[in-house]
Amino acid sequence: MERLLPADPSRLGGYRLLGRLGAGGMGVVYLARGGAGELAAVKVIQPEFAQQAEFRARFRREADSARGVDSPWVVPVLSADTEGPAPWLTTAFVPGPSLAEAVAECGPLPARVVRVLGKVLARALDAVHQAGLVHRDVKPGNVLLALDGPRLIDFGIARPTAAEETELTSDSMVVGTPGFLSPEQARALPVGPASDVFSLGCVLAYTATGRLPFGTGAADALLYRTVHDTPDLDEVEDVELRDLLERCLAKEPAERPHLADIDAELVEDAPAGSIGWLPDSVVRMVADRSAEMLALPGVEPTEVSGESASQRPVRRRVLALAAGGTALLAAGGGAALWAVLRDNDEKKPASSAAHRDWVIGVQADLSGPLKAAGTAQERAARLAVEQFNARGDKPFPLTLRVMDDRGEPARAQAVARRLTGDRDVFAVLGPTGYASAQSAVEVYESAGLPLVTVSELSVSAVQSALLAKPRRYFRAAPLAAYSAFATVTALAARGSRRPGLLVDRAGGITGMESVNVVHSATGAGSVALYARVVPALAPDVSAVVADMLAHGVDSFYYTGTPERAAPLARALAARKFTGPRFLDIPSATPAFVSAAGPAGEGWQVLAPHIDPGAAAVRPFATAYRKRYGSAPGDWAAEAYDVTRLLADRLSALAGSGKRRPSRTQVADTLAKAQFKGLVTTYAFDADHQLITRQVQHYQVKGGRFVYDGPVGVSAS
Amino acid sequence: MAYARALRVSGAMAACGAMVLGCTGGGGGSASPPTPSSGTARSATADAQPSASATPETDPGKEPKTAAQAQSLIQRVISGPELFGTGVVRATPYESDPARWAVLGDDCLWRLRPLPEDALASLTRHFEVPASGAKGAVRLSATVTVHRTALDASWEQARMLEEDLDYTEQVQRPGESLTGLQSLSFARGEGGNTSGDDLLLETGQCVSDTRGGPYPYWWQQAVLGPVVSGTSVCGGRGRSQEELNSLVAEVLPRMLLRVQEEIGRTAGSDSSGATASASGTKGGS
Repeated sequence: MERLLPADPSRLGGYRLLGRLGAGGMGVVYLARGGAGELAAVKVIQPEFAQQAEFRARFRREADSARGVDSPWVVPVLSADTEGPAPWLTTAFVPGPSLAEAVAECGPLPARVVRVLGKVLARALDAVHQAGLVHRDVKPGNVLLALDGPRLIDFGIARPTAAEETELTSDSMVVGTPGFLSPEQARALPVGPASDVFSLGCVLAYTATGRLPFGTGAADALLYRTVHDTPDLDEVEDVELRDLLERCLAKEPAERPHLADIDAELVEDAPAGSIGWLPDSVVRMVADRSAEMLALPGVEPTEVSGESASQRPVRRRVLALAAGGTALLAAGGGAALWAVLRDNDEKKPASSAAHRDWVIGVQADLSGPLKAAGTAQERAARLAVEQFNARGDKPFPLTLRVMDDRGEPARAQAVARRLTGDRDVFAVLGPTGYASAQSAVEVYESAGLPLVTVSELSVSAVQSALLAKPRRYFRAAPLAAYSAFATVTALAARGSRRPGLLVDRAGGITGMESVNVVHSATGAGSVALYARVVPALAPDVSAVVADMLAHGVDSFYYTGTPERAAPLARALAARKFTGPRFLDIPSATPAFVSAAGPAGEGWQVLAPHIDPGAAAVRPFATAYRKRYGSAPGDWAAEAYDVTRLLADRLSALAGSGKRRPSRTQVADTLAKAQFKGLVTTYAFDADHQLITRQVQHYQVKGGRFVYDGPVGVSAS
Repeated sequence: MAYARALRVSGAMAACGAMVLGCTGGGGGSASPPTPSSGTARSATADAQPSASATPETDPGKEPKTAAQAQSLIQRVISGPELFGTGVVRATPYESDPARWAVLGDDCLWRLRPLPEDALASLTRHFEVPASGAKGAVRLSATVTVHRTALDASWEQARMLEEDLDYTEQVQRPGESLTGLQSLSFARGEGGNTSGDDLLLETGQCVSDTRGGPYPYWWQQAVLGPVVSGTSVCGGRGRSQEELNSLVAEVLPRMLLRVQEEIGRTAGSDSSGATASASGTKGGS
């Protein structure tokens, strides 16, 4: 809860406001205390919305609707003023976490718990429907878990089922929460009570598996899958429950079961005002949260100042509390409960350091589109670990745990879950490419497990996965942006005054990232960039070559794919174009050389990775050849370095006492690393990106990419 | 580095789309305790499976062949005020001439021109959130253009990217300009784009002689088969990025869903009389 702001009122109706529970676009929700000492949530609508007749009508409807609902499992409306300049509404305050928070913190709940919850929510929704309403926003965030049982909240968007339908079809807002919306809501069609049944199915599936039946991601993807896809209920192990959920999630509203049938089918002892049926971890969370919320300034001003909620009670004590929780709260209030909780020291089981492996994980694409790079990295990591374990002075034997994610997003996420779920894993090398990073990074971030990649060097993969900057994701090679920037410099250095940028959309977002760098870099300089963008659907990118040459282009920089770069190379060769020609990183592969043939000669690339045959990494290449009987592939040397970096950091942390460090300690020590590898010295900036000043230069000569050595990146 | 910042802005927009739980929650909560969006958001992105979904593809048999069919399709898919957030109303003028569209000239000035040969119809609708108290008005728009082929549509998208590389400042009409424009484009499966063949995010600022500024401006445009759909928002005094995002975040996805319903390969095959009624105006041309 946040403090009241100076502009906030101190009283509303008969309530004294204590703090802010939340604020949104339309208004603010306050925690308040009534004349009898009872706690309430007071929702106040901002005057600018209150001025709108439509909005005020809606708010009035919300208040009236909620008053008409009679169920012990629905939070009651206590009072409301819908006609004043700043309309408000108070409901009983439920001092517990939402189901969303409980699942996020404690994971999926057992089938029995889901059945009980389903039973309670079916009854709650039935009461809503009996009052002639459709809730329309049934989601885990609107189910609160209190010491005396769950509650359905929020009638902010509930609507009468039929009476006002005509009024609502044209200008009504499309509302609700994607992921829990019914197909009819997703299509902005009229909705009936069956829509809430669908949402209830989503909520229960989420509770049982920790996952949404139609996945997560962008709103558009969710809406699309909700309308078209079969729900993913594979992880619901209880067969009867899965069958019921499948029926709840029928696309056709008429095919979904009635709430009374759901209630009847879910055969469990209905909870009589307790949460004893919830798992211990959730009970603990409910008790903690209740204690925190009730031990508020203005409620019980003493006892708690300066104390944090970090102290967790031991399990047995809380179970006793939960059973008699209501009585205890009634008798002693929050402070008493708090005091009881504080009496318990957290007693962790003594951690036995013996017989636990020291594990470095590898998440790589070993059989998908990037298997060449992934396999090279996996083999290099294996070699590094074998060398470490062969040392006589090793502080502990290292274990390598390798998992193949095939470069598939869903599998990448599953692999990330497995590796983060293994408490013996200290850090992971990987992932290999963009698609894996986009879906796996968040799992590592949530688990706090350091993830170090050498070949996923985009900006946007991690940005589309996280809103904040990554805390545990390290990039141990220069981002692709450096290569693009260096390419602009290289073109200018070779005398180009009118560089031609050919952006092939078949190159996807990694190509686009380079484009933005080139645009910024040339914008400031003395060169006049000419850019053409070719859609991925266009059969041949060389369609724009004539136009580019007509605009005086004297060099080319292509971003796209190796296969589609080849016709461009041939078109330029046919026109006897001899100016500098550069490829971006993804298109500079042997596939380009073989597809372009002689026309590929002279094409260049500035890449993040070193040639595994380079002198600097010769000791590694020699050992690799001895171990595997072949030369190492691209990205192997970097992966070898990173594995040694991880081993070095773990050794340093273990010290002479051979203590097992925490994942946080590993991440912290990586962030401060100064490790001299074969390729470079590994040190990271505040964004956990390699601090670097160089990229690697290659040119096609004699039918292959030949390494020309490092090139400095000038920070102009 | 300007480039990094632009990516960050775009990335935040894209991610915000991916984190609908965090973005749309909270606004209407009546008795919600302080559900931290971080908790919900965490589970939201942790499960992101950007390319796990079936690929929507358009059915050439359902694509419009004539200008009249294209105009009819546009009427069925383009957003009215209902897909935007609370308080969004029609602006005046509301609709553009469907036989003309805006073209960016070499002088960085947008002008209305007759539709080119490869486009069948194009319609832009204008909306606003009126000024209220200390807050200025917000301007919004939705545009749908139907081309003869998917390739034509993809070239329109490509031209849009080229325009931002050539002209980072553009004049919409005298006294109204856009500055600092940068674009990013996401193929299917990238950056949370799962419903368009290609999704373009343009960010910048809008400046007006009469309304002031610069305010945040962004344009999102997606191609699905021969149809290009887009939305724009131009902020106003006292309007936060979050507020603006909440107004437009779901409009384009929902328009795309409508396009998919109308001309998608799977449209109408899955269920329900709802589809039939939603597209019941078909053939009205």
